[in-house]
Amino acid sequence: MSRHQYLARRILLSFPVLIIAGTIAFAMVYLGPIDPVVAILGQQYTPEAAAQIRENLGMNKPLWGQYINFMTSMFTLDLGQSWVINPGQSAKNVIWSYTPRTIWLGFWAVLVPLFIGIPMGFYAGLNSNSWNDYLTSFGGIVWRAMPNFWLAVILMTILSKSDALFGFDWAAWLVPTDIVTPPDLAFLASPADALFEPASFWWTPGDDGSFVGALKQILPAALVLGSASMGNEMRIGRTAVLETINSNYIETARAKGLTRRVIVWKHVFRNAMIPLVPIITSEAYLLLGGSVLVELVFAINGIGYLFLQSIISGDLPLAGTLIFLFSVLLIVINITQDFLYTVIDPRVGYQED
Amino acid sequence: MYLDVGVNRGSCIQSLRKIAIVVTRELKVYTNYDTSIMSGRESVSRRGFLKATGGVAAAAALAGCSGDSGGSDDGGTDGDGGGASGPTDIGEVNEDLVVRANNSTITTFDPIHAADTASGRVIQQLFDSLTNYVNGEKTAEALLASDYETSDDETTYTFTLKEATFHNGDKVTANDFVYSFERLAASENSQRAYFLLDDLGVTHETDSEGNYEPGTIGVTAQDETTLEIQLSQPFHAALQLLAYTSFSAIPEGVVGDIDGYDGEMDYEEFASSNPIGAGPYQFEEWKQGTEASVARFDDYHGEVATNAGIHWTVIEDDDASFTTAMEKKHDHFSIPTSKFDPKKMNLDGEADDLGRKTGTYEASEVDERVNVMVRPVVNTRYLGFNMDNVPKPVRQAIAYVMNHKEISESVFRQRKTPGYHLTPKAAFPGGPDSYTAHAESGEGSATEYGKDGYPYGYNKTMMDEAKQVMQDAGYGENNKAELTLSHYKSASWKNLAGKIRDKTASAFIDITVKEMEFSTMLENGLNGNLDMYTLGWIADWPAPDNFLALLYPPRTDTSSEAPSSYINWSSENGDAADVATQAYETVMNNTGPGDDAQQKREQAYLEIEEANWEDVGFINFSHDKGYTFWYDWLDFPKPGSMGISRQMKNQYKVHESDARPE
Repeated sequence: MSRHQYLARRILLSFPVLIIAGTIAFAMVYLGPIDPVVAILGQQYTPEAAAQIRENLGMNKPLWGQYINFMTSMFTLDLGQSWVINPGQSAKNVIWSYTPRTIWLGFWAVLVPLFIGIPMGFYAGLNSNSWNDYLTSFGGIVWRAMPNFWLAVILMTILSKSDALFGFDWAAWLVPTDIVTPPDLAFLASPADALFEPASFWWTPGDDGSFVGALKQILPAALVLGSASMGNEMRIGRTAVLETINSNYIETARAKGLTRRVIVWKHVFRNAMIPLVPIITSEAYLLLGGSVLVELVFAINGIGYLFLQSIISGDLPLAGTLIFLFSVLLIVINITQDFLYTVIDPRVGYQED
Repeated sequence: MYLDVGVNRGSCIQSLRKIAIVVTRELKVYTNYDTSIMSGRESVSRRGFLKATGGVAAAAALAGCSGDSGGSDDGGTDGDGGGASGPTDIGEVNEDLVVRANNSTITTFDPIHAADTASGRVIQQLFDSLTNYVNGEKTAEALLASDYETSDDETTYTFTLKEATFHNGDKVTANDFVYSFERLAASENSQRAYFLLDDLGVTHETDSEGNYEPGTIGVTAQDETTLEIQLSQPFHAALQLLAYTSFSAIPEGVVGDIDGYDGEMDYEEFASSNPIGAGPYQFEEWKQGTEASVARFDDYHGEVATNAGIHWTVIEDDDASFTTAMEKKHDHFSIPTSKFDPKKMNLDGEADDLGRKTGTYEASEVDERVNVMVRPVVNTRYLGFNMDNVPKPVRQAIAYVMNHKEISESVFRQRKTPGYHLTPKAAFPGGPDSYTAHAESGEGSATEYGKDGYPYGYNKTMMDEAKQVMQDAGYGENNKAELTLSHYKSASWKNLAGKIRDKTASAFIDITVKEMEFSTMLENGLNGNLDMYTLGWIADWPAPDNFLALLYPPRTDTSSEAPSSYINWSSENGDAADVATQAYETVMNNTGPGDDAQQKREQAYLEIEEANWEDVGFINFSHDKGYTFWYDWLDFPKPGSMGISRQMKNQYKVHESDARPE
């Protein structure tokens, strides 16, 4: 079976998984303890008003009817209307207006630790048991251990007083940005500007924001969100390098006179990446609900925040849709992860038994 | 309207906040939090209930001690700033500046759909009603109406409309009001039909199931500028209720959610991106979960705004909004209880006639003084008992144990005033002084139940009496009463519930505390499954009948269709239930605006309050104080007890100042 056949098979197999995920989402939300009618009406609850709302929301239909409606609308991406959070608006619009920030945050939360954690881990592994290694490892553990919500509050507080503390005003540095609130991502709508109007796309903080501004604004939140993974990547990177470097084939390579450079770059690093792949891909889960706390503290109001709100207030279409979308995302991430394995380590994967 | 407070946030965040505070500066570590009340935020759940709007609304101002002077000192900032430190750099008023403030999550701009304060803040600026609470004070004055008359039987109101235009250029006519009110009554998007049909009591027809028959409300356009509203019985608070944003005028036919109209635009467009009203500001932009802004409407029928517009950020988190305010990016703001230290506040002397005090607050985060105003909020927080589940001696013992003053000081850090009546001070017959005299010594009492004032200890704990009443009822060390105290998620309520549990333990009462989501608690209440619960009520209109409906025994029956509270008060479980029933019926039979009716009502209000004292359906233990903080460069009419969220901001002025960031 070729790599592509393998991929196709994985994609096909994901459909039953999606159906199960959708069913669970439906069961969790629609059979759960929160009655959106009570949430909507509050103390103005009257049976007539409740009946009217149930009718309007289609809650009077038999459960299997609601289930089929839910599933078909999920698979056809017709997501219905929000009930509580933004009544009268389509769930698609609501989700779409909250999503870009979370993706932007998640993207940097994955990328930043990648470029800090892994090099540090590899460095520590290559220089094991030196003082530098101890320092790096200790730092990694501490960094890993600091809870996100705590780190977020501390970082926000420090940044907002950076002028008084360090004589360096973070908010005004490079391009002026706010410390909290979501970055302006409107500049992404016209990617062509990256080439044709580089100043406005990359730099000038105009009405639609700029790359540097948006990056700077999301950076503290991304650092916090990625803090745990950074520590993880560092520690696992160190172990992986150590394990590889002490293996027989490296000794062989050394014996046949390869330069250290070739050994490290070609043999050690590539093999050390193998255990790191699932770590890195699993961090993509940060794109999902893991960001709720950080979003709240930095007032980013992204999709994690939206999910929390919709669950608490019984906005069933919104919550159901989000759970379904999260499932889709997870499946995609999983497939990507398995696929990457086959790229990095050809021994894994698609042999027929 | 239901008073909810809460944003549900992990207690872990809050405890960690302490550390942040310590790191930043010499601020104290606090142990009590009530983060949400103060920010007036709506949190989460919501809809259907106005949250602690006034609880805190927000406004603030920074004494410009940063700038070492320069600018003209006579910039005209109001004298309220009292002790603002040092010379300021406040310059001239610049009408091209935008007022900046925070808000929580906005749900819609449709005035009949909005039930949350966050949306209400924006809607108040965009839409005008017939009347308005000028500056959020509690008397309503004509707004879009130039004049009104009532018929001799006080059931027909005839309004003459001002010359006014909508944001789309159309003239405001009586037909626009007929359409707007019909939407309020009939649209499936309306959350507030009962305001019009039940509270105001506009005449209408219903079908066999009791639902409103579309097109039958007693609201008619006599001619282009004359609107007639027909009530089924006189209502003393009609003009106040009409000030509610739900009664705002929108152009006839703008949306097609009622019979006979196709709508000029989609509902979604109207509610989220193109709301058209006749208010002092027109809609500019809304980025969901990020910000919203409105801009001055130059053709406004009243005083055209003295600022270019209003911009709200949407920040739910207290730390984040406080940080932004301390960066001076909000002109007025709130300070979350967790960051608030009563010792840093310096209020000038006596309260004004509306019970408001102004002064300064040392915001040590920025080494500056900001201006502050404290005002009473027309709301009440109470503990309710399901009387079927909790016997009277137990209820009385809990009332004896509770020291209302201590609660407001230790749990709520002086951001509430102790309460004894369900009717808040500002709405109490005779005003705040009568309130205090009645609670303290029974002055003016209407029944024997209230002849000595609050029977369970005015500002004190009466532990011996609590034990005695329990022992008399056969309880003791080996026979404790057991009940569950349910509260919705909020650090303050949790703290309060724990204190009550600990204190009542020595009075042979074993309380289990249960924390739940707000909507879950309501559902349990509706089903009669609560023993004891914490809730609050904020005025729909500032009069006692709006509050005391919660204590009308027949409407507290949780097996009935729509209980107004969940206490199941009846003559079987309370000796004074009949007194309360009769008194509230007196209220309902005397709803008119005349003096005679008012006197009868006021007598009845006291009877209900005292009957509740006797039977302990509610323990009313506090009323909120609203805190508004603002920087020196903001100049604005101070909001009254209806809160800053009900205030139109067209008289806000922003001065030039170097200290105010771009």
